[in-house]
Amino acid sequence: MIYSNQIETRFRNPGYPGAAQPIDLTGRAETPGSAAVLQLYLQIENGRVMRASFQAFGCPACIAAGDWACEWLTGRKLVQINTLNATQIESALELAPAKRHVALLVEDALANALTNTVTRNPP
Amino acid sequence: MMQAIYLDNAATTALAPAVLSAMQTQLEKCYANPASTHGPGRNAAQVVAQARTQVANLIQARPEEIVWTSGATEANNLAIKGVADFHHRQQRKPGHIITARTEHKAVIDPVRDLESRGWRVTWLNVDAGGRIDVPALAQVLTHDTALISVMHVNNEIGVIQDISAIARLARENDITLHVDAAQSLGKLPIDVDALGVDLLSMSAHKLHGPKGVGALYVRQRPKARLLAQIQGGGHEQGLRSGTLAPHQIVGFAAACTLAGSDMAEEQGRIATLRNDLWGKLKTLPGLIRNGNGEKTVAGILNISVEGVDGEALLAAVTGGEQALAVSSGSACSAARAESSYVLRALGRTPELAGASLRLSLGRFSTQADVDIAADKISWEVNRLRALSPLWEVSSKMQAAS
Repeated sequence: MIYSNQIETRFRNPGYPGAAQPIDLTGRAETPGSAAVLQLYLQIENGRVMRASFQAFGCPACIAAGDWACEWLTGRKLVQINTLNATQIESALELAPAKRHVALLVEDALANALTNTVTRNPP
Repeated sequence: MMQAIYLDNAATTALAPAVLSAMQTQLEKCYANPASTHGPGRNAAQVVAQARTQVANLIQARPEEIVWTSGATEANNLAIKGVADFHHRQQRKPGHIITARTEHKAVIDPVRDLESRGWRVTWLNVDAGGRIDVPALAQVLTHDTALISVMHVNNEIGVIQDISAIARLARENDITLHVDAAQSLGKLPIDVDALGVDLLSMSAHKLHGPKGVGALYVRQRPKARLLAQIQGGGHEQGLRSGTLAPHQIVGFAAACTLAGSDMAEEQGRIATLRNDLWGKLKTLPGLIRNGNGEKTVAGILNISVEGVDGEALLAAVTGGEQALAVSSGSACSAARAESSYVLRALGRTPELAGASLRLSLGRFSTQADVDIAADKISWEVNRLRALSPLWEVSSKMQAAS
């Protein structure tokens, strides 16, 4: 399969891998049968995303989508987050029609994160 | 872009220099049609006759038992449909065919075509190592079984079938035996009489010959009976019409002679490399070797990797720094239902069948290739697992149990 440059670069060398601590919000989404799983981790300060990171199991497009979402999220106000939609992700990553589900995966993981507060452990 | 480490010799191989040189000479100097009766035509026919002997020698056959084809796919089609058509014409009705679920598509598709034309087909299962249970085969023979078609060496996992035992059954029951030898020619010693096969498909490009040429061995005594599938001039004893391509044919012959000249030594070297590759890779947790390792041809190693996505695994190892040229059991679309039917026949889950790599070595493979491949695969598997939210959980669960 031939991937777009965005997917190729982010798949080979993602900038936001792992579950960076501390975590204030986390959201997970998966396709049926766990064929692809995406988990986002967000650190929030003063209503803004200070740091975002991700873990993903899935195809290169899935990993690239997690990485792209973290870049997009970093520095944004929480109130802006739910403006991110699948079409934006599809176009940013030049997703092939067969891969559009990974954009929905990001949307779902983000929606899940907004309802999923993690209590920070005391330092 | 840096050249990839080529470990896909079961898909196709590079031309050997001796093959290229034989073909070049032929292309430059001998353009006549071997079917022509004039001097240049007779020269071309002589070249083809010499090549026929070279190919026949590699399988201990007689030259007149070699029918040139465009490759193993055509040879398989000629054998399977040719025997079926002959049987149908004699018996005035379709009969029964036995083959295995793990055959190459070049056998499965023609057999399916016959099934759609009224033939009954028994699709044999294989054991967890990929081998056919010969006593089970004996149980499915019927009075109108016309053909048994079994591959010598499986193209995905490299497993060698017990052709002699199957041939004994076929002979005792007067059934024609066809063997697809695309992956074994030049890699295992083949003696068509000792093996007891009636029809044997061969391909040049799997043993460092050119693409576009192959042959079907057709036993003369007792005569294997089949009908031509390509008509138009009655070439090749009426079994395969069409002007012969002497440059392709001499390339095939040169490849056969080369393979026959150092088979034991070369296959021993390749087996050592393959075993070293597996030895290095199996230090990774969650790696499974597919196929019965004791009964596998030297050049093929097939592995499934737990905890990674098949498409990501293939993309990871075939790109980036030190890219590998390897095959996988994953379909391009990564649709789970389309992962390797061969690996699923061994009992692998669709996920493990998809997350598989076939590493196949050849004459030009080196220790450096093996070292780089082992490092690259280990590095990429560890990287993908570290990225996965599932691997951490599953490895903790394994540690706990």
